[in-house]
Amino acid sequence: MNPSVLIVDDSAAVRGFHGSILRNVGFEVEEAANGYEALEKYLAKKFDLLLVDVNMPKMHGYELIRQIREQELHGFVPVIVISTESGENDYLEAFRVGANLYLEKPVDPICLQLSAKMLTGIR
Amino acid sequence: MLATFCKNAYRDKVGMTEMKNESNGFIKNAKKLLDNIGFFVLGLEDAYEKDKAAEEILSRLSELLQLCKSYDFNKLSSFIESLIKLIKEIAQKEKFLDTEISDFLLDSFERIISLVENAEKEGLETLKAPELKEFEGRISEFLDEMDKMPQASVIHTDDMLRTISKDKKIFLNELIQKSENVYEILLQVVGTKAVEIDVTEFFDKLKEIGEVTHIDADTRKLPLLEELDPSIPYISLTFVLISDKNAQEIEDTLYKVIGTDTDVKVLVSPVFPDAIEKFTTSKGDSLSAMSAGEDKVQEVMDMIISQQEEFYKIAETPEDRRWRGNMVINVLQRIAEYMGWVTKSGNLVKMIKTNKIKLPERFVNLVNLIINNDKKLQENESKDRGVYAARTENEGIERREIKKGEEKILQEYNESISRDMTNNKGFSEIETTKTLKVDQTKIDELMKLVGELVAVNNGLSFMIKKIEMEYGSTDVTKELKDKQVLLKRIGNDLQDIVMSLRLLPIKYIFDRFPRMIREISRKLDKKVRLVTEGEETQIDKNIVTALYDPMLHIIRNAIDHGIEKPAERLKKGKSEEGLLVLKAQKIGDKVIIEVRDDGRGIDTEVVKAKAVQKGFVSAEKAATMDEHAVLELLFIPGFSTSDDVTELSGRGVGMDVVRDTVRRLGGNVRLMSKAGVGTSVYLELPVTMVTSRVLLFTLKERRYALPLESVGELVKIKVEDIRKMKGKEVVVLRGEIMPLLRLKEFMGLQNDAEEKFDTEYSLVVLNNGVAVMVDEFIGEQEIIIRPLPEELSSVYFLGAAILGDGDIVLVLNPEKLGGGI
Repeated sequence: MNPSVLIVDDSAAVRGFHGSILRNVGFEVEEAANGYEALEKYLAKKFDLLLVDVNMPKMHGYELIRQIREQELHGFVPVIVISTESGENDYLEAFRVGANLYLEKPVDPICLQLSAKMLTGIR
Repeated sequence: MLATFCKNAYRDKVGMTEMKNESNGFIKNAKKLLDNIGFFVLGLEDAYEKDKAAEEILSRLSELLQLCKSYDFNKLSSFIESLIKLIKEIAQKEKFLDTEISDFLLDSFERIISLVENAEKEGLETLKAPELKEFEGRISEFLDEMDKMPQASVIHTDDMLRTISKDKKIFLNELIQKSENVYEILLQVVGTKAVEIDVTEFFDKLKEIGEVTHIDADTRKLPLLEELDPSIPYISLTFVLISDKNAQEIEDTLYKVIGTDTDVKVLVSPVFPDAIEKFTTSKGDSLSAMSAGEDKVQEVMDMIISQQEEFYKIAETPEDRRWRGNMVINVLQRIAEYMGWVTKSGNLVKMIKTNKIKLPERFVNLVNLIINNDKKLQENESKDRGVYAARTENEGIERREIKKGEEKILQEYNESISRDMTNNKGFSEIETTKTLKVDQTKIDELMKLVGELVAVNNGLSFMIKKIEMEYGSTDVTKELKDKQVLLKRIGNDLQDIVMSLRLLPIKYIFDRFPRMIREISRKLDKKVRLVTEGEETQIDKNIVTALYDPMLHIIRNAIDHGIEKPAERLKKGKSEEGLLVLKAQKIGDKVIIEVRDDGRGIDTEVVKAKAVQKGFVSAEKAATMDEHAVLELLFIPGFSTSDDVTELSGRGVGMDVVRDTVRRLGGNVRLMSKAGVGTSVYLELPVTMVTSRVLLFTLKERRYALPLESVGELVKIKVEDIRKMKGKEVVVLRGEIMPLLRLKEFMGLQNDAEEKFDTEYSLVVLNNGVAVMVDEFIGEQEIIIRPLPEELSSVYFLGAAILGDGDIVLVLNPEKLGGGI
């Protein structure tokens, strides 16, 4: 079965872009436009990977991750944070709430593909 | 009941049961597949939903097709086949679906649904030769029309490669064969910061770098015109570029044009031949070759590992460290799997411990660091639990608290490690699924049992009070009381948890309205914009299902009588489109659903006049009524069922029915309206409810209820059927002797004078063999039994319920009715 990824980003274009990058290497892609939608989808189904944007209206990406880590409904799900902020403390904050990997926008597609595969352990 | 029984027996005899089951299977599946399908047809009209909607419809239809074929419904099958063909065409062709086709699709599905429903009633044979001629003719018309339409030219970036039109795929393939350096460039809007891009310069630059062969725009971020801020870039663009420069160079050059301090980002990605190939042939063969080299793999892995080190390093408390350790090990395990160092079932930690594999030093060091820390932690813990617990408590005050979920993973992690030691099983076992599908009846049963538990407990508290009154308060009664309170708390917690199992988001019902609203507004020539809020609000599943009809009623009223025709609205200075808001909100233990329109509102004067005319109130009284009281008039049964409702310009059409239903659900309805501004209907509902069927009867003109499951039969007897046996009254019914309980007497309601005139008595025969005498039967009803407050609780009552008319009935406990004899 193909690995599944949930892409959370308020921009449809970004979701589409990251989605097509990951689809390229065999991921089943689902999208969420905000934190609430993401939580709903996370609760309903086990994903192999989450890709989370940091700056989102309604619910901040880190708040989303914090809540997901609090729930841990489906065991361990790796989380990649994609951020536009490049402050030094930003990635620390990402790690604090439980993100496993921190990538900066714009993402190098190959790097994203490799990271996603490594975090899911699927070749 | 007897009739059903006879029918079944007859069917058994002629061997029809089997067939009935078979038809049930077909009808059940077909209904499931067709349920809500209209919603997705509407999705076809929306440019952004179209793909998903088409996908959903197609997958359902192909399943239905299989189903029909397996039953040999050839005519229906071929009809569905042509529908599939039509929808496939729609998915590929033009951007928007015109309403003529979608209406036709809606009609077609409706036709199929009615065929299925008909078959349910009259048997499956009716599906062998359904009347579909008219539909088939129109399908071929539409298909012909479709052929003349141009292919889709717009690409949604969210599925950039997947939805690329065939033309573009072929085109890209050709490009790649010609030249190796094909790039897809996304000029992407990531925020709303206003920017000024010199588009001409940007294009010039692109032309300088290479040859632009294709441009697509993603306009989805475009807001409505009135919200549009011209300084914000809403549109993302995708270019296909052939260039001999590398991706980084292209990116740098383009950033020079747009500047770096903007919310517009440029993403340059090379288009790989295998990627294109994959999408033109099949979706996602994950094992196909990567275009990344060894160096890149090494680089990315190093980056991930150093981030894992950071991730682990920032741990603030021992618990936090364990939590982080567990995650890092998980990540490392996956990397090892990806690199092929271990298999999916191989355990990385174990392998490193036993030196079975040679891994990069950095990798091994990190793993060792974590397992060593973890071991120490475990030792500490077992040595001094008290200290450990105290530490946890103090640290709990700190920002990072230990979470229940974490404890769970840690526990699982530890378990899995110990398991691994003996079992040689992999880490992958850690992730077991934790959701479970349960039959709703089981939950209902559980709920009922819990309800009984709570009721019994109430009885217990009553008993303890009784003991205390009779024998005085002792240590034993105190202890008993303590235990009872504990039991009560556990019961309540249990009830809460089971209740929460039954909750569903209200979206479930809201999603069913758009289609209906569209249909009504089209029929009435009105324009309606639907806005939904609070769709995620959770509410009991039973309520969700029961709410559909009353809400439909209110919405229909709002569109029919509330919202004005476009021309009238414009004249009044309102927007042409009427606004209809469905909003759900949880307040305390209630959910409030609001249905609001911005239509003409309710004219209280008209309502008053109408009420006076119908004789509901006197003219004098009407004159003194305030607005609220006037709106109450609308809930009077039969208030405005007459034909001049539209003239009334308000609602009130069957509002009594709405209130009745909502009350039966344990809620209430309120109405607010301002003439000319709009109307709001508020449905106040409990979050949860458990319904029970009861038998209603009267005693001295008051209504009481008994749970239906405890009722065996209802009989009328003559006075001579009552006999005396050992000094007690009994009834002989079909040779069976049953003790008789005169309920009025039993409850202390007896008034000797009237009883003498009765020659016929109504009896409820309970399952426990007691015949209970009541005044009159009313019938059965579905109600929500709520436990009585503790001060009023008694073992003789299960609880009380509110009827649709607002009256309260007490529900008797059948178990206790035998005891008095």
